[in-house]
Amino acid sequence: MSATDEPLRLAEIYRFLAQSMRYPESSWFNDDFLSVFKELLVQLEWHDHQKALPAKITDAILEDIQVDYTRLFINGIPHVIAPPYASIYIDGTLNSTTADKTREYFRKHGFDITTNEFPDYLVTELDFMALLEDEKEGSSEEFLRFYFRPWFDKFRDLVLDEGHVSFIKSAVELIDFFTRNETEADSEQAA
Amino acid sequence: MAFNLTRRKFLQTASLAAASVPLANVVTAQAGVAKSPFTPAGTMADKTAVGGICEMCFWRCQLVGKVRDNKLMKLEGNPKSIDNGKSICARGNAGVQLLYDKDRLKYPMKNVGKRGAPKWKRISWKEALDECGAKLSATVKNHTAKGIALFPHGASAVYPMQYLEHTVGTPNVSEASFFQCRGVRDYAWLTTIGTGPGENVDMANAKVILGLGCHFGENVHVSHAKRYLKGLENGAKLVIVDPRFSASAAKADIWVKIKPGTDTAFLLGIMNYLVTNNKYNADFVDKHGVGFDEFKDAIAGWTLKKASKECDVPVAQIKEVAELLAANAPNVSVHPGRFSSWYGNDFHRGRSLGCLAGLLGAFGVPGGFVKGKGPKGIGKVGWPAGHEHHKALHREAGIYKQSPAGTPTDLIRNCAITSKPYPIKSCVIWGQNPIQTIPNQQKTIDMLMQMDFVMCVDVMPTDITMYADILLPEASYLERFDYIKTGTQWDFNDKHQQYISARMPLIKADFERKDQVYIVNEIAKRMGHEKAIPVQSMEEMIDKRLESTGLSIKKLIAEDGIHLQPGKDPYGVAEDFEVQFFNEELVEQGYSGAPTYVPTPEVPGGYLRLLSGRSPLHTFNRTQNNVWLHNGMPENPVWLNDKVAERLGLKDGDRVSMTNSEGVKSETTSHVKVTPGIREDCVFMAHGFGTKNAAMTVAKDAGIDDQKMCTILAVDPETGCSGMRNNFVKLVKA
Repeated sequence: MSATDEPLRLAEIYRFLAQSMRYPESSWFNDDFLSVFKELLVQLEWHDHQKALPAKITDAILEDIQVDYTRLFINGIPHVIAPPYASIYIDGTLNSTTADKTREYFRKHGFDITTNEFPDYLVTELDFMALLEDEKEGSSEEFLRFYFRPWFDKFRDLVLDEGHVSFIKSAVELIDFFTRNETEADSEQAA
Repeated sequence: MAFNLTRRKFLQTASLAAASVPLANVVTAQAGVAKSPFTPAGTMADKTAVGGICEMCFWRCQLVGKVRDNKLMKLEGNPKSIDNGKSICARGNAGVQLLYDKDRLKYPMKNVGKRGAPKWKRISWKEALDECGAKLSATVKNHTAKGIALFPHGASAVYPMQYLEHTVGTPNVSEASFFQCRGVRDYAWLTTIGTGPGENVDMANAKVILGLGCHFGENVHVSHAKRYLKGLENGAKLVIVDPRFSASAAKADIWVKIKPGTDTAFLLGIMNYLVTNNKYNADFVDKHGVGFDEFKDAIAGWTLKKASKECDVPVAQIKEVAELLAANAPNVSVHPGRFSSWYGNDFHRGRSLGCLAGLLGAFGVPGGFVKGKGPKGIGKVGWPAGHEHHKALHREAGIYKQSPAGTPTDLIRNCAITSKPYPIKSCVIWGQNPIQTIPNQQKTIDMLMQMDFVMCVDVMPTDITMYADILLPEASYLERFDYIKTGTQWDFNDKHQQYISARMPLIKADFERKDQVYIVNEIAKRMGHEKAIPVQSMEEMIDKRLESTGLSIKKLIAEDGIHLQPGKDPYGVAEDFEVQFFNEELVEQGYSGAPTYVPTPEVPGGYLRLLSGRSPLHTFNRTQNNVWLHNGMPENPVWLNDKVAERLGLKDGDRVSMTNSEGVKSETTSHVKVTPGIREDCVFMAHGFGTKNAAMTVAKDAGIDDQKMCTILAVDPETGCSGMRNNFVKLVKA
């Protein structure tokens, strides 16, 4: 899709948010990416979020984001704040039963993981939901409700409470928005 | 923010047309999920991965892994093992938790903050290796290879150690497993019987087992424990010499509640008693003893009365032990111990143990000191010698002439801090946590702070990693090839067999963890040593080393991970075997030729001597963050004598901190275990607790770090090994 007026698809959004939560490197975390990210915030009328982002990506800004990403999600001092894995929040450890069940769900729907990452990794789950939405709009609802949201709130709160960098916090809030459990009534009320 | 907006509504109305590029164009990563053939639940059968060799401790039991869907579910002893058999200990079982510990290092990281207060940034392997190569090269250029220090530990550290020692050429290598553990024992026995002792006593077939400071049951090494328990089952008498009612003392026929630091006096008293009363094995001594007359003269003053006074042990009990040993000689296991860095007078304790075994003729006989006859022919593959050759600091200074391989730790540390006799400006730390291994933590920190470059390679963010500039995540023992383990059946009374096994991964490494060959080879390329690289992978290393045995990784896998072959009777003593009761070489080096007692400092008034040791659930600091083991033993209780507790107003379970005689305070607390099972002049706690690095979320502040309390550094004059039990503490109710 080009920068046109075509309607946005949830699959694209999930894929974009998955990209946003990968380790920020100059190969993709650049001014173009930032432009799309900001425009999404504008469309949502999240103007405070949009204003808090840098005008351009410089080396120093990239490093600040990398440092905060490492502290929040990889290995941090005083400790890793918000490991982006469902198992941590549900079972208290990495790659546990929750990860197994997640992978089972992937397989049940004809998918499987392709990387060295655990199945319950935030980015992997967003990628999966994007694929489901590609196949049929609305088909990610069950996964979202029973697999994704049960852990995501705790993760989100940790990032919002302890994150230092606006970009990461905004990305997590965007994920929160686009993965909320919504009923038809919610939509009607909003309309 | 738009109120009550839902994503459905948003998607119907929003457009990103104002963005500089389409949304899809900025999504560059491949999805982590893809279409795959349908896999019904429950169809992923368990597989048994063979070839595991544990490294939750150094005993290295043989393992198999139960793997389901590329995930390690459970570890078990390899049923084919004639060493540990199907058994593994609590720590061995808990290896699964190490594998999936959320605090484990995952990616290479650069410290963009300060040493000691790091701010980590994930970087690529290329960037990390480029920096390591450039910084180490700069140090060599500016200061020669002597400008690099290495603190290695564990099987994976052998390859980098060989590279830095042989090819790069630094002599500044110090292993805690030698200088803060068993080095002094090894060299004491080497100068007594010509070989390091290991733990090669045939306890399974002994009539008496003598353990001096041995904590069998608190140190759990499976085949070693089997020997010990089999000996007890068979009716062996057990003598345990320990200031504390340890797990072994609880099983002992005689518990000698000795005054700390006087062990050598105790042994000299026994040996003199045996000699003066002709209760030693004269035939054996005549045939195999060297310098017996000089030895006899040197220990002549050690009457039972003198030993009793020095050791605070009744004359009758020392005599009872001596008589028991004599009556059951030669089938006596005089255990050499392992961790021996106690009081700075430890060389002579080790020599005394070897000489006592000699007096009893307890070599090469059932129950005595017996080395198994393991397989021959395992080849060596290593890094070639480079251009630089430097003498180690102690060789230059003409001190510590019985030092183990490497350089005594404190010499490296002092040299780095003072730049005398030369600067040491880069530090490589591989699998060791010197904050918790070397006495006087502040000096270790001072050493690190003056470095131009510090790199750490580890699996966990231990305390020392807080001082790294570059921190590299290593594949664990469950995820890599490396160590070749050989040996025999544990009970020499069973059919004689030999085994050969090699460590193989039971599971692939997650994230970006790499093995030692990858890391070292890449650094070597950047330091101009590409042509010297001996192997391209650990698999190649193992296959080359196994070649002359006719084995290979492939063949070992086909044999369920362990190759068995007929063994040989290990009993008997070579004609030329010697026990150096008096060692002339030591005299030439300026040391005492006979075992000699050197008193340790007395406990200052109001203080208690701090003793430390093992716990069955932990291997020091290495296992502290393992949640299964932590739940079994979350902190290290402070053993305190009941009468002393009453005087101090402390009750069982009270929380205390510590202050040592030099005013250093513990940063954390632990609980008191009030017991009559420890002498009044000391306290005891398990070593390795009280982690400072908050990145170890389970271990952080759990229990007291005994090493922080060790600021008085005793150094064994023969070997340069540390003595860590000459530190004294007060307990402060928290």
